[in-house]
Amino acid sequence: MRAPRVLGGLAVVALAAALVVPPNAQRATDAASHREAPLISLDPAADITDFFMFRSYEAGNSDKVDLIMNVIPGEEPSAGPNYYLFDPNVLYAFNIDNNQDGKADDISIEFRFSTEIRGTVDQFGLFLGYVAIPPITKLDGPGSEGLGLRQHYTVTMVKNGNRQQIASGLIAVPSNVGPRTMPNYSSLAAQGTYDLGNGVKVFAGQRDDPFYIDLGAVFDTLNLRRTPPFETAAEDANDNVNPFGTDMLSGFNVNTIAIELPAAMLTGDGQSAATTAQPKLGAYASTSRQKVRVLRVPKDEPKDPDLMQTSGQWVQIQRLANPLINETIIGTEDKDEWNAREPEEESRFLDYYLRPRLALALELVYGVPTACTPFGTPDCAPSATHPATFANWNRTDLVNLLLKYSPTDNQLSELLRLDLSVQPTGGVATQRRMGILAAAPDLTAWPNGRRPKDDVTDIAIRVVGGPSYIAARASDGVNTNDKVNPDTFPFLAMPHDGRDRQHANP
Amino acid sequence: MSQTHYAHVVIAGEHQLPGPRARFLSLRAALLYALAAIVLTIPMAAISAVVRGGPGTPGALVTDPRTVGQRAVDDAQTRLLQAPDDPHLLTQLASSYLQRARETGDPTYYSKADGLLSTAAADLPADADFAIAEGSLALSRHDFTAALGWGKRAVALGPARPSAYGVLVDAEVELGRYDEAVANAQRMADMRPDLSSYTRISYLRELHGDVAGAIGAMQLAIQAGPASGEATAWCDVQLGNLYFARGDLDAAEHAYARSVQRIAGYPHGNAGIARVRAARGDLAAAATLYERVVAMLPLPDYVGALGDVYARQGNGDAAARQYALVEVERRLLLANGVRIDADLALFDADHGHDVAHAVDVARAEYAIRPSVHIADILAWAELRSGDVANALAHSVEALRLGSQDPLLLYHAGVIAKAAGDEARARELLQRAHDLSPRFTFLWADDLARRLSDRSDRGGVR
Repeated sequence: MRAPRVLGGLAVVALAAALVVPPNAQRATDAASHREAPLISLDPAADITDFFMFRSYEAGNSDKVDLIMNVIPGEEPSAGPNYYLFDPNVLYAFNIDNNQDGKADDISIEFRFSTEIRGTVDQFGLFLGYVAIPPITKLDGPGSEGLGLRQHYTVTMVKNGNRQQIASGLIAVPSNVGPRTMPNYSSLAAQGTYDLGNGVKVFAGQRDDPFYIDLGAVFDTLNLRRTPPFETAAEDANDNVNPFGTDMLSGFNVNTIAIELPAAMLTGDGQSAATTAQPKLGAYASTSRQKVRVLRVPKDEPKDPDLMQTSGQWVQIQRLANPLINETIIGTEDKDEWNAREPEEESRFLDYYLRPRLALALELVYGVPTACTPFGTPDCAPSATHPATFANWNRTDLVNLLLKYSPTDNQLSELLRLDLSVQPTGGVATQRRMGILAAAPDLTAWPNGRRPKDDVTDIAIRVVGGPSYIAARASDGVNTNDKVNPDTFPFLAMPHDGRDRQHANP
Repeated sequence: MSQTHYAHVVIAGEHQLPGPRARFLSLRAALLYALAAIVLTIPMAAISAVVRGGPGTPGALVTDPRTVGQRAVDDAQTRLLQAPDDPHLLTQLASSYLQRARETGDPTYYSKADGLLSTAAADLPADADFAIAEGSLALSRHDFTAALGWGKRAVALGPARPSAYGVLVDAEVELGRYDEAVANAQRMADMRPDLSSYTRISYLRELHGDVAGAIGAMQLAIQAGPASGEATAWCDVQLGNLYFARGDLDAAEHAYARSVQRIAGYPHGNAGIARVRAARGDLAAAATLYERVVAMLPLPDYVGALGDVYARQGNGDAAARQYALVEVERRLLLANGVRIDADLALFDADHGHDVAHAVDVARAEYAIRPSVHIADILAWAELRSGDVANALAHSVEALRLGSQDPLLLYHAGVIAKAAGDEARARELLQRAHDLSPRFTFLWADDLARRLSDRSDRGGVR
């Protein structure tokens, strides 16, 4: 579930938010003198905005699998001097199921960060994290003096319970401050792509937010800027032009963690994408923090300011597999619990899939009947009484699509699933954003894995809405990202710089 | 534009006026308008939005200058246009008003939130969000008994909601039920370790005398917060207060300054810097900063502190006007349902305003919430009214958790001295001094004098 945010951080949700989800209300306080802590706070560093998993479409690399998670929603590039850091207390992890049991506990790849405060900033007590004295051209050594704040990270692979740190001391690429401070950002970013050997590459740092959506329209009770039919066939087929919507995430950045590795390192039988007998992977990204004791014990021990008395036990803060699940499927009252649960516990949220509130919202807003039972089921003829029969809706097709490897599965797990036996389509220019719903179907788009290009907003509206919405080419009118994503690792475009950033929308 | 808008323009501009007489006239006008607002319950719209950023403000987005609270209010109101009776939206708007109250210090938002929640109540007999909103409102109004009930209800209805536990923990802390508060804070933190739970861990550690652990937890909270967020800035200020209580004024100022860097003009941060300046004896700088703070956020604490600085500068008239403004704020808060009296009893006791009344108020509050802070306020008021025996008993209560708050230690030391316990007085005052010799603007000189007299005469004055 992706959580795009309104400018500046108020939590909003992408689809059907208006009818489904009130935004987090922050706790009021302090009008009097009594000390009141925030009841709910934004938690950007642990807030996963997107999770991608796909077979590499970089030339000659198709046996590699790429896993990417983005965190820190809506990074305004000019919002110095604070800029954007990973949280050193958060465990960032990709969790993978390679034996189709629905439990993503076969492999996990963990990222931990630490923050170093360096030279210039320390010396002068500056608040500026990055300064051009001299201009920052290197992540380390001469040319890196201006990096007053620098984040290092480790990568650990946990396979069947065996932990192995595969890299340490790597440096995260800093926020793109601007051309004076960082005259050649692309060179700086390239230094942050590490080849770890054995065909493994990693990257951590800032990128352009690849998600594209008319957030304002969607949030305004699905007030899309056209009524059915939404897009013409020609508009729908054009992945490079926004026919009527505004990409409200244009000009914003995110922090990215990306890893690419040979498929054989992920498959259950250790075979390549071409030869494996177990080609289906399930995965999700997660953020966790350690439990902390409220009172340090024993209380009479010498006080140690660094001793937080963490228990070593991790608590999952957020999980993300398929996009938009938390926003459009799960009800407000269960969002906290949903995030804390494991994907294989999804059966407890089954009702939300069988009776999707997004479908109800679409029907109420547009008066166009949505699918209320699996596609093609004759006893669910379009009728004006659909909302009245909401309790009887039965979208087992969504359950099969999002929670199972095959319709005969009994285990319900909310995982992003990738079938490695499907060959990559090719570069971004040849990919189709609508995937299987495109005029010329592209089988390597979500929900078969997910690539940055995939228009998950439109796909979700049409799949959840059903045949009438597919026929109407329902869309938010935003068909492309504001930046063109590269065909090379880490597959996301360079971040907007703070000085010259632009937002397409008013 | 309400009348109070004008009133606060006057108050804000007051300090630029030339002479005492002009100031007096403008303050009178201000008081009249403020009182009119109490009667009319008009929002004090003029109290500038705290979190609003201007061009170039860290984190402020040029595309949307509204605060979090303003956006939340606008959003809820827009949606209510389509569904005017939706109880969930009414609850959401109420919560947004509580955020606005946080941003502006304007307590009339509490009355508005209260009205909305009353309307929604019948339709939401068993809704966790509703209980959380009611609990938040009760906490803001210092009605901790009611907040405890709402917190329990919220936890029962939403057992997986960390914010439900947040309401419960806050109520328990303020009611002096520390063991329950610790247990529920642990549940909250185990459910979701984040800024909200870390801040509660920090406060509970501080209350139990573990200041180093409190600092560590607050640093975790800051790392978990949004870089330019109000919640993070609030944590910076709390961190500054912790350093201040340990006597580390440099670290305190750095933490306060960081909050202002996150949110331009953040009044709690500027008040912290003003406090550091005052402690260092730079009264002019402290006054200037406090003036800026109260123009944005005229909380009684800050208005009173400005008065104290004026008084120390020898400007008794200016001080008296600020103290009078505290009275206006008191009435405004009371008129909007905030049970502020006990908190202001300390101000009254410190300033010799109707000490007998302060004792009555603190005693009544202590019967409802026997927290260490109310025990401390009651003890101090009792001492100032001459009731040493009860002051002694209550000062022991105030230290029952092992607090390392130099203010509490100082109060207890002075009370011990009055009760004739020289040894205990010496020990407590020395501890307060060792922790933070400038722990408070009002009493730091008194503490130093008592300790230096002690070395001369072998006793504490």
